[in-house]
Amino acid sequence: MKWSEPYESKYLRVDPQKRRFQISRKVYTDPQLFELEKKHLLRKSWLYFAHVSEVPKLNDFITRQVIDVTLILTRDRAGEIRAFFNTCPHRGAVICREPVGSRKSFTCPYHGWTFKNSGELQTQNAAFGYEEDFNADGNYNLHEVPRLEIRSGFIFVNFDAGAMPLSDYLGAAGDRIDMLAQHSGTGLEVIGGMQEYYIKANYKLMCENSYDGYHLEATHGSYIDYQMSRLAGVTQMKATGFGRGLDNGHACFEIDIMAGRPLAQWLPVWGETVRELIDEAKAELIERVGPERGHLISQVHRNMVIFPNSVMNDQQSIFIRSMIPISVNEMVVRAWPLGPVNEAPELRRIRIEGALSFLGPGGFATPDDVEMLELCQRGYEMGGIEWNDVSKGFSPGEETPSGEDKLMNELQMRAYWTQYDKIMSAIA
Amino acid sequence: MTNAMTEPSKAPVHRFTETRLAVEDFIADEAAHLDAWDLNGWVTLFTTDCVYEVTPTGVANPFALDPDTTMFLIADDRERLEQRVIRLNKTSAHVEYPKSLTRHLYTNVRILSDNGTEVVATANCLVFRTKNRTTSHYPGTIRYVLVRDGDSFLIRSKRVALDLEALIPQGKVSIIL
Repeated sequence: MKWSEPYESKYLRVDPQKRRFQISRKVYTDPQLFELEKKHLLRKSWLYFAHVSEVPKLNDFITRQVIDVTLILTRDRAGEIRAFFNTCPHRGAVICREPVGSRKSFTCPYHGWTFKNSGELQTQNAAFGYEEDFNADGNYNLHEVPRLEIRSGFIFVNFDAGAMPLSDYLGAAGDRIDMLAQHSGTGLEVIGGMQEYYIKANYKLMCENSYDGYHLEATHGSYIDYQMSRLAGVTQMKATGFGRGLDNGHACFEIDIMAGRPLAQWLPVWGETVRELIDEAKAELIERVGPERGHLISQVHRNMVIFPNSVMNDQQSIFIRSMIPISVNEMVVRAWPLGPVNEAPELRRIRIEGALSFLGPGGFATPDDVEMLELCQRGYEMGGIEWNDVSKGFSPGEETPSGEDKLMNELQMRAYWTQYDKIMSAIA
Repeated sequence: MTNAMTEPSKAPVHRFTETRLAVEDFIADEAAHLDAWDLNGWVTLFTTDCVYEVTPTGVANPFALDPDTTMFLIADDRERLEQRVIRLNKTSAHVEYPKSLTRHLYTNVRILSDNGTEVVATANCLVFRTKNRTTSHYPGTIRYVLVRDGDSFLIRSKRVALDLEALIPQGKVSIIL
């Protein structure tokens, strides 16, 4: 979409000549709009759900909520990864009450209907009352999520059977997900300690926050002070970065910066043993993927939002977030750190330290983000003021969602909202 | 949630009564520092090789976990603990500006061992945090490793395990528990 002419919808007000790009605050506050959004946008988008390492062995399962549906994700007895609605096809009770485990079958606690972990109804736990061909058409098997696809180990689901393939949906974001997986020649794994926390704010605010370079200095001054204390002895301090619209509303910022990373950015505070391990990891990476891609993977820090509610951060650590909308003004954030399988213990320690001190809800930065999002939500709920602004860096002729702009501008958000408007304004 | 630290003791009930009274006095003072937001005073209660930890929510065995292999909510050594205090004393620590009201209740103190120099104790905790007209609760268990320091103690290790499946609705651990 090329922004040349003035445009106004229920959601956007854009005036390229005045260099203004505004978002209606209703998108964060209107409960009816939220219901429409669930039906037409969230239930038709590809949503990040889990990583394959969370069900590593045959018969492993996890249960997890996505939008307002709880799914059982299984690696079934044949090794196939599947996801089922966690509700009994008989009378509807939630079947599996454990968050994680290993089972060949699932038994509903209410009447004892039992299902194979591939979904087929095995028994109704009844000696009489049903014809033998009762389930011949599979109507009473567990209901499978309409679409499930995996990109480089990252499992996405979609509730729309007619949705485009995941790789088309991800567009230019797909290769950046592949780059995450290429951090390691041994594969990635989710590190224990999933974080789950509530924010009294609309879920889209956390998406905007996740790739907003502009807020770093004002919101995170106290974290930057802490980080500077850890960068003693680092000489190469300059950073270059860009905001980039990818496709279909996905966007990221990418920044070539020395911030310390267990893959290829050693900090003097970590000591000499760690330096050798980091050099080894870097050499292995270059050997495996070549110098050019090796640089992109190891030196470029990246915060990326997969439209509409998934975040893939590739910084001091790999950190994935999924924003679960609870109501129009409440969300739960779920966050997982990932690291290479068989990572050296010293590097694993650094990776975890980077994740919890910056991105965790007990860290030095994320709690301040949570505060900012709740302040925004309170500001919107005052009412009376209709428009928010994401104009920074906007000029006539800008192409979103696939443009490029300076790091501290707001192109990423314009990419998100352009896609949002495209979907929501098309609703009859 | 089961773990060795909170199971009933098989030791004689009154074996450590004197130690328990001393530990109760000590951690009541610690709570007073925290409720007064006297973090500079609070940090002097720790040894130079201390750790202060809050385990992840939703885990079955919080006292068996290793912060080097599992991501905790907080896993501070002395340096990061001091940095946490420096940060919280700034007005740019937005989440705690203006400062929330807190009330720390440390109760049910049990002495697991006392070898004369080092005491291992557990306490139940319930911490209230009030800000923006909302009060959140942080219920949990604390395991202390205390070293004797004259007629008082210093904290070598304080590990807090919250009785929460997730930080819902608390949202964060921005105060000291």
